[in-house]
Amino acid sequence: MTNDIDDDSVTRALRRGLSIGPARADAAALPLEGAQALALAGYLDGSLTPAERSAVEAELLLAGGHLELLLASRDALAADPAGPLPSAAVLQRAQALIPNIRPAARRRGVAGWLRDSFARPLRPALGAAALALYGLFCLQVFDWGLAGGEILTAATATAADTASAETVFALALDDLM
Amino acid sequence: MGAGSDRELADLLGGDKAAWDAFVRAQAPVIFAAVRRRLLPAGRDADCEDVVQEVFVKLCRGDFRLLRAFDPAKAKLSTYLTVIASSSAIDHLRRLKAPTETLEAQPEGTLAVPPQEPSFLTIPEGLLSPRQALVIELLYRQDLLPGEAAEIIGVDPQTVRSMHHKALTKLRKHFAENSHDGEG
Repeated sequence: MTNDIDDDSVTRALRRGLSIGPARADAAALPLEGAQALALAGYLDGSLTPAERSAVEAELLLAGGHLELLLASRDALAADPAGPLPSAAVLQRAQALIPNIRPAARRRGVAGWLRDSFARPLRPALGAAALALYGLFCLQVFDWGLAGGEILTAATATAADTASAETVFALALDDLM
Repeated sequence: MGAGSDRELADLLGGDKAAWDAFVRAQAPVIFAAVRRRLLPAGRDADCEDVVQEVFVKLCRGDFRLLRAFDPAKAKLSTYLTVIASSSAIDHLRRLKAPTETLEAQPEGTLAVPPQEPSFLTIPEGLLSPRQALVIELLYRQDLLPGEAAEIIGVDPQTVRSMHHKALTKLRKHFAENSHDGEG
């Protein structure tokens, strides 16, 4: 193999521009989803598994915006922590995002534990069961309606039969007399 | 530090106003510092407080969707919030970068057609390992020093130098073979 491309020409080309694989999505990287932010934060904290780190690295190459974000976050974390603090107005505006009328945190204790452990997870199932019961009830009422109709028909028929029998009986009596 | 523990975060997610207030008091400096770090060099220091408010709005949105995605086993809360705050600051700068200047206001040099640069490298996908490609990206595109790149990737600077060397060897080989193919 003749090596007619030396180190210098490769590095010069790399400095001019670089494109790896498919087109990079520089602008499409943001806005950020929670899972992506968590992966980048875990990468910066060094708390990911090797497989997770590899996945983040592959993502960084495809989404240039994520690399920019990673470097910006690293830069912010490395900055002097004794910087200026936000004004009281900022805190007040942020705190006002959750109004006082929001319900307080769920009470703890056995009742809270029971509610969190059973009642809350079962809520969709209980809803579905209630709906099914209502459906069954409606079907039953419908059945009752049909059955009631049959009874009425039978009763009417019986009454008619009885009436005709009585008529026949009366005529027979007339004949005898 | 308020709202840092699992219990405090759980209270916050349950809608506890006091927990939210404590969270804001504890985390606003972290968010403010990350936003300011990004906006200050761009001369947008005055926008910091608005962007901080935007971050808190994001955190509340969708019944605390972003905060619910946080997992303390994966990262520190301060790092997670720094990433979200930096993302908002970058977004803010991008929105400002939208073309609002007239064509006449542009310096002539900006509008000039640049001379053709024939030899931009396109590295085929799979030629370099993701980590080698990331090293190349950090060293050449982001202009970082090997030590800085090593700190980001979480390896020794010597490992970065080694990965850089291996990546260049692969690139040399690839482009040498391709140049022969082109001739033949």
